Amino acid sequence: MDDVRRAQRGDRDALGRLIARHEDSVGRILWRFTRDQGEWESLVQDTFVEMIGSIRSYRADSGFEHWLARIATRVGYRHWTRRRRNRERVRPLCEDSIRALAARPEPSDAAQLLHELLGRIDPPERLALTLVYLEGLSLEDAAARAGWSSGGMKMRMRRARIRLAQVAADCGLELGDLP
Amino acid sequence: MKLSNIVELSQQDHPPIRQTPLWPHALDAADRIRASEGRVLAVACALSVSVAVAVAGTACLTEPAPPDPLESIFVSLEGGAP
Repeated sequence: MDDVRRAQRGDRDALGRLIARHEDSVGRILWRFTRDQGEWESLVQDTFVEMIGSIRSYRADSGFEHWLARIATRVGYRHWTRRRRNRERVRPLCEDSIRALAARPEPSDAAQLLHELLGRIDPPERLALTLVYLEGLSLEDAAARAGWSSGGMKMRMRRARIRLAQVAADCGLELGDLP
Repeated sequence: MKLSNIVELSQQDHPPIRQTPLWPHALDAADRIRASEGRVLAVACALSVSVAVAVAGTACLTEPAPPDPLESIFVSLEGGAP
């Protein structure tokens, strides 16, 4: 019997093994939703708590990793909408970050800048951009991950591209060859 | 610098490396949540039972008492309407 089935029957050790096995992939997904390490760790933990709470309802028709990725995406998205409701302001962008990045192109600095740019976009469109541009998912896969219809995903992506172009223009950035 | 370059570069970014495994914390957190949900359920049950008892008690107190036959006799003797 595999660990998923054992975990569904309440085997704690199997749950522990599942978490250990998927910790990295869940962590990578949620690092797109926050750049704060404390927040990130608690989002990863929330994902596994939700996984434990709903593992009995998991059906093997979709892969376990895909099912877990959907939970992680939901947890991250909820984090964004909560921040939105709290009316927390994203840190204002500055040309300095862009200049610094041009001088010394580091992935973490680029990700930080992109995180701040995307923070100016509403959560649904932001999620569409994150799944397609950063996770590299196709529109179909992104729709499945977000739990949206394929048409809904296309509509959000259309709006998202327009919004992203505005945000980029505000910072003096060209879009480049983004699809 | 173009946004597409920033997107491409940021795809190579990775999360910080954790020093300690997460699974013991996640299991403990799930246990705590289950325990607190159990407590909330117990309190909700106790509350609903006490509310039901209170409602039943109030209904008993406010229910009109059956007419006292002696009272109508006294009223007639005092000259009031029977």
